[in-house]
Amino acid sequence: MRRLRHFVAALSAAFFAACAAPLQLPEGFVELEDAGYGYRAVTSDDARLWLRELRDPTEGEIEFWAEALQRDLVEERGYELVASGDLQDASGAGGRWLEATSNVRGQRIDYLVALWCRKRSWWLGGGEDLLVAEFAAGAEVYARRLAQVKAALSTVRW
Amino acid sequence: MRLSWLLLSLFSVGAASCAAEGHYPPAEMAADMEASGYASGTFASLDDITNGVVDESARVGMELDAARLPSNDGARLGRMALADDSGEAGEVRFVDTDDDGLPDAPESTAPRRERMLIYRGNLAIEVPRAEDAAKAFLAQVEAWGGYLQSQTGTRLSVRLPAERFDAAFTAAKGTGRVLHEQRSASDVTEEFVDLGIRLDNAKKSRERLLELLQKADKVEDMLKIENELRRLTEEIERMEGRMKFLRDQVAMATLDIEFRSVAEAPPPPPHRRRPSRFRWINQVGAANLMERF
Repeated sequence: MRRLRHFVAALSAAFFAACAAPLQLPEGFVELEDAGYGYRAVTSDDARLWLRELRDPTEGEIEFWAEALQRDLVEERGYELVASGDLQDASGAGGRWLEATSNVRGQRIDYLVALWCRKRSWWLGGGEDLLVAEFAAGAEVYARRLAQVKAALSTVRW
Repeated sequence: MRLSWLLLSLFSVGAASCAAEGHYPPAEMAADMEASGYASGTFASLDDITNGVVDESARVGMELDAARLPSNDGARLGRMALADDSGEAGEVRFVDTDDDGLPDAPESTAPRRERMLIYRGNLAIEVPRAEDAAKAFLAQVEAWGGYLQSQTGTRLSVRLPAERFDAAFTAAKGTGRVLHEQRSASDVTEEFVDLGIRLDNAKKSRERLLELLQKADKVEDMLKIENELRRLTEEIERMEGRMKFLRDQVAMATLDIEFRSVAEAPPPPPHRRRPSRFRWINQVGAANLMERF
């Protein structure tokens, strides 16, 4: 009986942990219904925030992934890099961020992506788990929301 | 004869001050000074002090007085005078002639001297409406006690109290996207202290020259003294000006900031994109976020 109670408690904790927002939403954002592909939030002026856990069979350090992503965005997709740097999530884990300007169907879209990674256990198949947080909006909206989004990224839990 | 020696010693003090500033005395005067033994040891710069040229008691005296630097000025520092009244060439002693009635800080509890730092910053920020952002930022700077130094369009150069420098930097960065950011702090403590010491010595030399001028009875001597007085006065004014400038630069930080209106979209890439070998990278990006969200 006692074992069952513990099991139910652990299950509940896991459920609530799964349901909890992975970051403190910045002011003006509302969470979208979970469609099964990450945590999404928007503002009334169409700024978008998307957090996803992605996987890759390759094992690499955060520097490697950040560089691979930056190369692809700049050299293959024509993004203009504005700035990049380090950041920490709520647990103190180090990650990387970069900001760029992009051209999406002729319209300027400003883009921020933050990245954290951690190795997967061998019994889960190895490789890398990556948490990708993306924020994008038209230039004016982006400039207005950026500071709050950056602050919110330091509250990320995963 | 006595008068000549006195004159010669005073010239050597003045000339040492001049040499420290990069103005060298004529060669014959330098030779005379060397021959007389007055050219060395009559002047102590901060380097001398830190290098241990000056005796320990003098150094402690200087540190104690310099510890009160932020609330005082060079004249105060200048009270640490060269004790060359004894007439012993080559010996350098500092005396604290502080007469403000304040108790001297005991050696063990002497506060560490604050550094004199000149803060400068440079920012370029992309904002939706550059004119509005520039206007709002300037209003904030003025509320902090700062002022506009120059403006070209939405490029501003502002001066603001040094203690507000960080706040201004943070506030400006919060208005939009930072395109460029740079800041620096130059330490001028050493220069300021050194100037204070040299200024005081120059003033003392001038006082002594004035006394000599009253006693002089030969026209030739009077002319020499007046020439030296003129040179010393110019030197004093120059040092005072420099100290005033440094004080102003330390008190008020300078921030150059440019607000740029949001630019057009970058051109599309010239070639067809080759997908990344890492699958997850193909799943991220602005286009993905705007179209498949």
